[in-house]
Amino acid sequence: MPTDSSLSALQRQILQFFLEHSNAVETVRGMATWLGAEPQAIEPALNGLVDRQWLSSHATDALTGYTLTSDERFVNQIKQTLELS
Amino acid sequence: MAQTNTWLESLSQHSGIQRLRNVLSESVAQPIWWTIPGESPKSLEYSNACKVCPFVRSSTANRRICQEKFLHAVEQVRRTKAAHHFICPIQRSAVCLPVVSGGQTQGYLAMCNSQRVIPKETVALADLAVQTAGQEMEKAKELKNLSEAIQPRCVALSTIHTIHRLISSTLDLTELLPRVARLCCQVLRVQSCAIWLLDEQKKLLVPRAVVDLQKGQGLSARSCRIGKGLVGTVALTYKSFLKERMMVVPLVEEECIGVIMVRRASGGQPFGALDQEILTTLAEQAVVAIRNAQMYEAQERITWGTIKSLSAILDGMDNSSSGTVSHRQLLADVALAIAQKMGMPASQQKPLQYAALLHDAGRVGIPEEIIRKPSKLNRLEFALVKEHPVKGARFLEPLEILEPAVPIILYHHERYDGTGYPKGLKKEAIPLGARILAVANAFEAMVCERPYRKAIPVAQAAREIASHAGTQFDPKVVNAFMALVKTKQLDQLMKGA
Repeated sequence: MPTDSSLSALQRQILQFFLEHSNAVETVRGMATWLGAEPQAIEPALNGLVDRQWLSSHATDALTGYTLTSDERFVNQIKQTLELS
Repeated sequence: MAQTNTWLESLSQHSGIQRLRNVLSESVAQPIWWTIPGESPKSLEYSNACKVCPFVRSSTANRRICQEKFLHAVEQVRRTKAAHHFICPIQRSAVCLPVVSGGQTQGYLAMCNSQRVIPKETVALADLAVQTAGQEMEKAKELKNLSEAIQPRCVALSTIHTIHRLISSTLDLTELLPRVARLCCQVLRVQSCAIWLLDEQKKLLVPRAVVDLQKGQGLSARSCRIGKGLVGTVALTYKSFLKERMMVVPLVEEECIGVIMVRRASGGQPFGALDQEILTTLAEQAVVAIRNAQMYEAQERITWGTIKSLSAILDGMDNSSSGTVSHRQLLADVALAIAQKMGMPASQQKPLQYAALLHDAGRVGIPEEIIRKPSKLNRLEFALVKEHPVKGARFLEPLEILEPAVPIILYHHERYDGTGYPKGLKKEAIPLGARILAVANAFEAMVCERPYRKAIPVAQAAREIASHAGTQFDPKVVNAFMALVKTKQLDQLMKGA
């Protein structure tokens, strides 16, 4: 797993959002709206978190939905990381 | 002063109050500002700023006198809820302003140590500024509370919308059902989810998707009869079942078409009414997508049956003995295998199969002796044969469902080097489906016996096709075809035929 310092501020915001709304299924556009960020910046940030297995992606040909991982070990890692920062 | 009042602190930092302080400070040499929390304060907190006052600085007894005077003024303000101007023990001017929010006095802002009397108009203006800032802050607080209350609902609404888009983007049940089950696991934070669909002919609920994030520790889904067991009972009664670790909800669209079950591992939070509401909403979304996919599947079966019937009818009308229905089915299967090997999008695969079944529809009407003629055709005869792709396309054009298959039928006799017919198209100008059909057609013609010609082995047919890569056939299609030959997939298809 990459070091926690490699998390960007935007990725921290995304993780915070999903911890607060753990039932949410969101798209790039949706996240951009909630966080007031550019979709171009959101997409790589989301995919980086999917690579870490902290988020799950649900992709179709036209759309990708993102959710918080359902693996509690990773959820605890996220909580620890956000608390430490 | 033990009391804290963050709201009052924030108010004292409000831009309107800051401006007021600046304006008053200009007319007072060394003003002392006070933020006094609570409706009825019992004491004052003397800050470092108070050291500029010679009276307070000189003795503790003086500080007590000052505090008494100040608290008396505060009490007056509390009663009248209006600004109060007063003179301190060393005859300097002071003003105390109430800070009211939601009808409640939150505290007081005060200023003292003015060597000049503060005019009434200035006091009134200060009072207005404090009350306006208070109202502004109150509104901001209300907005924040409203936003905090609304946001989870907006996120939930957005989630429902995203789920709707994710599950309605496919009409393939084998793709849709696991996707729904996985989304249920994610949204409800559960370990497993299973979906049963009703097999109307067998009157059985059949498990069609099981997602188990704990790998084997969650659900074991079996077929069951309506009315039997938990799943069967939910399907019969249309009533959801809720237990601490399990929820079962019917998939209802006028009638029950299935059941969805989720389970949460021990240790997690027990399910509640909100979870049931979420699962019911997901089930309502899923049922529409499932019905659409089922209707699409039924429509596909009807279309496929119609095409096959049409192919059989054309066989009966075709004197050429160009192949039986089973030969055409082999041709369709080989074309599909090549298309899949080449990664052709799924939406283009069905038209290719339709075209394979109907590609020689235009041969109806060509005299049998021309088709079976062992010697070279004369110019007139060849011209007649060359017309069949155009005729076939024209026959089938009126059928809207065959629209994407028509170009494949029209151009399946084009050659990669541009010497084919009817248009002499070259390379990628020939539709991919037609390039694939050309290879599959040649293969089928060689490996299937005709009344007037013996079949040849697959390996020999493959060599023949490979030798025409780049001239008659698209080399990329030939490569995909040869890969199927290598893995013996074509032999399996031939056995099936």
